[in-house]
Amino acid sequence: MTRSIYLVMSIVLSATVTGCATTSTGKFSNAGDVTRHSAEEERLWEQARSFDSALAARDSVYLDEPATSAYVQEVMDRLYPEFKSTIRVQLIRSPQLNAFALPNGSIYFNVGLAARLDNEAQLATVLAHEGAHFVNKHSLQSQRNLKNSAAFANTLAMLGIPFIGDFAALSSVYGYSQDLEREADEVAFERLQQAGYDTREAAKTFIYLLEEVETLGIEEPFFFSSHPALRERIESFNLLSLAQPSDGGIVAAERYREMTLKLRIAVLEYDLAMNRCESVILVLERDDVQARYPAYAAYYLGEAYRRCGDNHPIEKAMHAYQKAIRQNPDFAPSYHALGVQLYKQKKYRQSRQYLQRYLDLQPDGEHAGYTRHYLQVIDKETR
Amino acid sequence: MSTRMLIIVVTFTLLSGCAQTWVKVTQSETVSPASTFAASLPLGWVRFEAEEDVLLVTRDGLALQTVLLRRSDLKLAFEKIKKDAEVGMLASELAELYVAETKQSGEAENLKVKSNHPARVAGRDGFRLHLVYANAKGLRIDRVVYGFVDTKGFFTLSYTAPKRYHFERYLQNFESTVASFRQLQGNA
Repeated sequence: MTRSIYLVMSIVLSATVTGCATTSTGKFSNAGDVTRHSAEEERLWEQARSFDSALAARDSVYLDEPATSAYVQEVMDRLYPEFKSTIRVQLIRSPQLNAFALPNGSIYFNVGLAARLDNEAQLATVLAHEGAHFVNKHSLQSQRNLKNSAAFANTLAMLGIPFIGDFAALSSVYGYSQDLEREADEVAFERLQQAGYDTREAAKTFIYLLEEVETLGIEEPFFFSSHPALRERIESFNLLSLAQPSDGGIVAAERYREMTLKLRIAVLEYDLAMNRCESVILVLERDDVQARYPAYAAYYLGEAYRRCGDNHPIEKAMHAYQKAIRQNPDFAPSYHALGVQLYKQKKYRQSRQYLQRYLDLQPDGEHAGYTRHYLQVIDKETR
Repeated sequence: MSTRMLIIVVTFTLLSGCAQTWVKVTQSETVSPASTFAASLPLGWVRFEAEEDVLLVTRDGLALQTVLLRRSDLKLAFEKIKKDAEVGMLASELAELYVAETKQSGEAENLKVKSNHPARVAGRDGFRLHLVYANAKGLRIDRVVYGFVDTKGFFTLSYTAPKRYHFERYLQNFESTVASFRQLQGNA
């Protein structure tokens, strides 16, 4: 979806929202509260449940690392202990910068966004912000302010944009009104303090995301990759920090990196699988960022150079593979990658060594079929 | 044109009332519209008469099983990811690009590669991919695709069907079609 389509949607959305002061809807006080809601809220919850089911059916939820999923939920439960088992965080298998809350307490958090954060306090900032949208019933407030939601849905259909369930879910694209976003920031800040997090990390979260978006040239339409939305969050949290300065608290950078290590590798693999190789290059060429990845990360950098071959000579890829082998001699894919490049250059003797080493390490690996084929060709050529 | 877009165009043409677009397969071999390849299609199935250099057939409807044989130009063979196919590309590299293109085309961004092996098609070195994904309604779809490249273009032979009941049932029909595939001089 292009930026121009989203610009049109912004205009349409603005035209359909009254812009008047939001109608008070109250908020949830605890988990017991959420079972008591109006018919209007029940309709929103029903839509949210349908969305939950649809997402699960599409195998979009990242379940590869149960420990990571449990860790993220643990952070949310620390922020909103009275809503334990009600606010449920699920990681989504997508490299894009996105997170959103549904009116029924489902919070969806893309692994791409998680991979870009630096520590647990930053994770907590985003979770606290999204949790606030649920607790303060922002979906209901926004729904009531829509002048004509049917017209909005029709406009979406006209633009050919998939209606992913509900206006509330689409807030992941636009966010809510400025007032509601600031309210979410205030609630989040308070929750961070109560949970013992270093609130100086709150503004840093969005400064860091803005740097990532600018450096990587990310042009996704989502709230957490939108320049204006990120600048607004930075300003909002800076004001809150000025009013209530912090002198410390939980940051937990090491724990965060440890718990999200496999997730970050998965995001590199998702990016490569979609040929988003420049994203991988821009991340891994930064020494400070590469230090947070395991030693074999140079292999992924090599793969990105190879795939973005137009802009990078193959020698860069080969150097990266060699670095990965030096730093982690047991990581099999590096041998396959280097062996294939030598095979293409008809350096059969050298190629054979690396390809055979790959098979020694991973006889049933994903590249085994091709590796055996190349070795057969080499044997024929060098007979 | 991606596989998904092709099927949308076919469906639209069908719904627009064009009566002569589907023909029953009665011959032992069918030649592509540009005469660049030929294959034995499953007898009794129906073939869409396309303008593109494709052979598109189904038995019970495109949503239940689709066999698609196609030749694409090398230039921007992978349109969504803006990549050309190149003569001399390894089969594994072609397979990678096919997967990236399929993910980016919106057909199946959640797809998984069940298997990826070298394969021979019409005497050429190519790939055989088995992909699985869930469509928008959560229905599991399986696709087997063979692909290879030469000076005449990038050729793909794919079979797509819901896993439940249909996929295994007609897989052998597709494999027979692949075994019969041969290249022709063509008009392209």
